[in-house]
Amino acid sequence: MAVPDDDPSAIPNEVRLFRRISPAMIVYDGNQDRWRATSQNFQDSKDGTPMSVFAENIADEHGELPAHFLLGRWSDWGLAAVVAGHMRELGQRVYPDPHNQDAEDRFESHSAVAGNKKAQNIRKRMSDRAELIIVPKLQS
Amino acid sequence: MASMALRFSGMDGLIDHGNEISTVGLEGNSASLFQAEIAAKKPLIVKIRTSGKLVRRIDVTIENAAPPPWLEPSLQSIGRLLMLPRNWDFDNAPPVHVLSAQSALEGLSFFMEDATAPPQWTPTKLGGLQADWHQNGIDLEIAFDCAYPSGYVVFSDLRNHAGDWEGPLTSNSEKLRSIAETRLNGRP
Repeated sequence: MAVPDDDPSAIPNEVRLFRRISPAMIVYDGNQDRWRATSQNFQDSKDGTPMSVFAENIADEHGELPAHFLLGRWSDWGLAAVVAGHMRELGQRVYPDPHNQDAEDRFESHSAVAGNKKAQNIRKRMSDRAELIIVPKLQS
Repeated sequence: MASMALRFSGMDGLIDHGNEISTVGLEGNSASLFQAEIAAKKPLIVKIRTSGKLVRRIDVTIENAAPPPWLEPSLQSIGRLLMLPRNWDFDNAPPVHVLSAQSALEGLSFFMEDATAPPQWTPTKLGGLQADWHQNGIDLEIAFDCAYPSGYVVFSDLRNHAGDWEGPLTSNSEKLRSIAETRLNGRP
């Protein structure tokens, strides 16, 4: 099966990518005086599929809003935003991936960030630049 | 220099046939009980009861010194994370393993000082734990899971990135002691 190419024409560098963030995996960053997603959030799926995100430019075209990505079982989760160009600086390929998602949880803006994320410092550099635009509901 | 030795007898997946357990919560680690047991140098027992019959527990014995201030908040946080169910991340993550908790606390005892701020604890997707500090101009992460049971460190000095480094905890404990002395004092 062909490996999809990076697609900066479909998802330019300045586009924000939204990543769902588990409420168990946030910490307070005293340096930046804000909550941050831990580096553990930025990994590929265990089934080998690339890390899922939602591309803001495609979401806008289809009327998908950030809050839509946090419905149902995701209602306690948060959303982090990081621009596509930062992912590419870290050796990742970014491309639309609308077909590779659960049928009952489907969004046209679903996209992939593919590439090696095994190094913890790569994941940390993703988390460094990710802004939590919706903070997960804190666990008691 | 850390002056504490920890001894563990973690048990994971012990089935408690003697009790029908239907509550969710921590037992045996309320602040007052904790402090009394610490003062008496008795074993600390963090017992995790989940819905069903699963009991998970960590016994921690402080062998040769008063327990450091970071230990109790760490046990409280880790106790909560041990309650995470399988698939807590909707991506088939296993529950946090007691052995990861043991490794993490042992790893920290190599370099933490009494004045060192306790880390913020979070789970990894491989059934382990990660300790984070983001304060005083540094980012420090130490992950303990099956990839690096003894801990893998990523350190960033936000004031001087030339001092950034990463590597296994066991071969960098001196560096970590220096960081603990100079940059990890106080609350996160």
